[in-house]
Amino acid sequence: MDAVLSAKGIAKSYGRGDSAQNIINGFDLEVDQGAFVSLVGPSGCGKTTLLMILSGLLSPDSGQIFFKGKAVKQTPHGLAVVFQDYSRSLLPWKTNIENVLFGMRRVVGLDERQKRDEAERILQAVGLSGFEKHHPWQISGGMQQRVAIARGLASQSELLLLDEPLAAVDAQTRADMQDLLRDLARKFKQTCVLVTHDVDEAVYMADRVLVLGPRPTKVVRDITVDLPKDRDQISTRESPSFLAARHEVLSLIRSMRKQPSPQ
Amino acid sequence: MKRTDVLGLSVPLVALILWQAMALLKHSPLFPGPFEVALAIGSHFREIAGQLGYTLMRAAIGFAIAVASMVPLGIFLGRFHKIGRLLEPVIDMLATLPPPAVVPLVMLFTGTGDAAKIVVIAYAAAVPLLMNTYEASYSVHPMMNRVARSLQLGKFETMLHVDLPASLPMIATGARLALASSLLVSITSEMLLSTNGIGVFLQRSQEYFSIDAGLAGIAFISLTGLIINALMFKLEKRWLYWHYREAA
Amino acid sequence: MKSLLRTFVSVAILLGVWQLVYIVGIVPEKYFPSVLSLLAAFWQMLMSGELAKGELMTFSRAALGLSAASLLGVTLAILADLYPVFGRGFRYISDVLQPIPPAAVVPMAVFSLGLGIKLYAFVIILVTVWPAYMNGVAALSSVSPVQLAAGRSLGCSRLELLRHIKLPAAMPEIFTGIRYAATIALIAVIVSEMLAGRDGLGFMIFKKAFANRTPEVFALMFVVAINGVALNALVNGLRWLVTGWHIRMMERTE
Repeated sequence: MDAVLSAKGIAKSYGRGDSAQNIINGFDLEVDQGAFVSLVGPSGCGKTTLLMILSGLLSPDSGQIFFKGKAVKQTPHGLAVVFQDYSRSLLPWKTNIENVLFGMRRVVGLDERQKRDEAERILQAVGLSGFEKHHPWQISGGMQQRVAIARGLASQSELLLLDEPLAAVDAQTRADMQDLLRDLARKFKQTCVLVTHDVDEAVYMADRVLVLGPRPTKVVRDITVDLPKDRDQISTRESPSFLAARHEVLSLIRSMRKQPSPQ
Repeated sequence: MKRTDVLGLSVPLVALILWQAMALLKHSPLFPGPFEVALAIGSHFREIAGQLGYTLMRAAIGFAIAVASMVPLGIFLGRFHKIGRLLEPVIDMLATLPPPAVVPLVMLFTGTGDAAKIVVIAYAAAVPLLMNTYEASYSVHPMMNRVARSLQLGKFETMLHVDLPASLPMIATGARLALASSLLVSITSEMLLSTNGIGVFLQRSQEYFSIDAGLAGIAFISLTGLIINALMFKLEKRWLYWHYREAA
Repeated sequence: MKSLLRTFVSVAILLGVWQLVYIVGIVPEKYFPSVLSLLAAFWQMLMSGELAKGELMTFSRAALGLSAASLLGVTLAILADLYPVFGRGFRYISDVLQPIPPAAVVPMAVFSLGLGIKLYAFVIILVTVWPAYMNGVAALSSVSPVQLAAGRSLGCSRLELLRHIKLPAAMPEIFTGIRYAATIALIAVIVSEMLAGRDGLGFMIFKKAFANRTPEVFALMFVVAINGVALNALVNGLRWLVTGWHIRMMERTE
């Protein structure tokens, strides 16, 4: 199978001279068609910078990103980003359906009517029927993030890059959204790369968990999660293979944790 | 329905009574009381309204020119921030120049009459509009930039669909200041260079010592200001409801 | 230091563009003199002493008027806070008076107040008092209830609450108003000098324009703009003295 997304030898640092901060060094990645990959690492290891580079929003100092075999210079068509900060990533002057339609600006071959139908269908898929004409600020945080996901799907994405999409929603909503995301990934045939700091979430969502090291970060371990496609918040989380994977990731991350020191 | 605030209304009422009492004491046509001004409003109504029309017409044209040119320019300078930064000090400089200080230019360019006044009004309205639009445009949240780029929007599309709407609340603030400036400069320019307009009416009232008529004119200006403000408020609520609802 | 450099650069750019327009010649020279003749006009006014005299008059009027108007505005805001009836009633008056431009007031006030200091004081204060008042009212009424409760639990009286909690908390917003008022104060002074003055920069601009002295008019406009900068610097300095804690706090949280 061909890799949908691959990264080779990515390095990135901010600043210059003595104050230069090495964020990423020697990062490699291969994501296969239809895979669900989690990137998890200790806090402050540069996860968001990494995702910005993978999506083509930030160029690396060295190394290259390939999306479906083509080098990535800017965000390519077929790649959608879902940001953590949904309240800022949605446009407050547009209604929910207008926000989704906004994601379809590069979609060709559909007229306005068909686009609207498609947007309605996707909003229904994320469970937001009846909220088309609401504005993002009129609905809860979890629902806003669903609009953002819908916008990504509407752009005819094949690859979803998810930057801590559930970090800002409450625990109950979070569990529901995790299941919804897995459903959507299958229904819309999406390859997913999820960046998260939550180890349980990383394991529960993914087929593969990549553990990132401290700065300058790179993949320090590649763990295949041995869980069935159909997962359940209660039984999956109690299964031995879930616990084993969780144990492995968690102990690895804990071993990398530094003692806090006053700057 | 709001209950009429009797106690609150007593404050302006007391002020009016005091003013009337002072006028009675002075007993001079140069210090009319509210009663005399009310009478003057009645007798000069048509003239004032007509002259105010000229004033507002020039102010509106100048303002419209400023909006049409400065909003796009501000958005552009915000998006292409390198050019914006280059011009920033110049904008700051111009901003410190009080609008009436440009009015005497009308006198230098007097040959062109209305056109010169409108140019000066447009200049006065341009500064707050440009400043606010530019400021808003370049401080659009970086997240929105990322969203626009992740959706593969071009620069022009981003300016039109992201920068402009996101800047509207601050542009509205600038527009308020710009409207006040245009009216101010419109009136001031008339007073320095008599042709027509409410400024001329005020000037003439002074020359004829009919202060009551002059104050009637001022009352109309104040009323116009109130109406413009209320209108702006309504428009903002209608067009920018998303901003206020979101902030709440 | 940095802001000084910026101002210098800004003047340089402006003069550069100016000279370019002059050289290209899209505007007749009669209306658009060269930078050199601008400088010459400036130098000549400086040497004859008329510039210093006008500058002194204009700046002191603006600064004194702004101070008086701000003090009055804050006093009125405190009154409105202590006596809500006054606050509600005064709102009608402020609504009506606020839109009146200084240019309209001058000719009407001349007969009662003469051409001297009384006229300037009246016009400047009438149009400059509002930002400090409006921001003061808004800020005093939106002081955090927690801070007020803290004060009350420590046994503060109404006046002590005002003195130790409400007023300091409201000061940053009041200063935002005063900064805006500084712009208005300069406008009011220039307009008054133009319409009823016998001295000051506004009068000078007016006189030179009548005499068709284009370079002098433009040079004076520059001087007026610099007055705007100076007035702003004055307010900023005061703001640092009074609400320095707030500025440092905001810098920390940014």
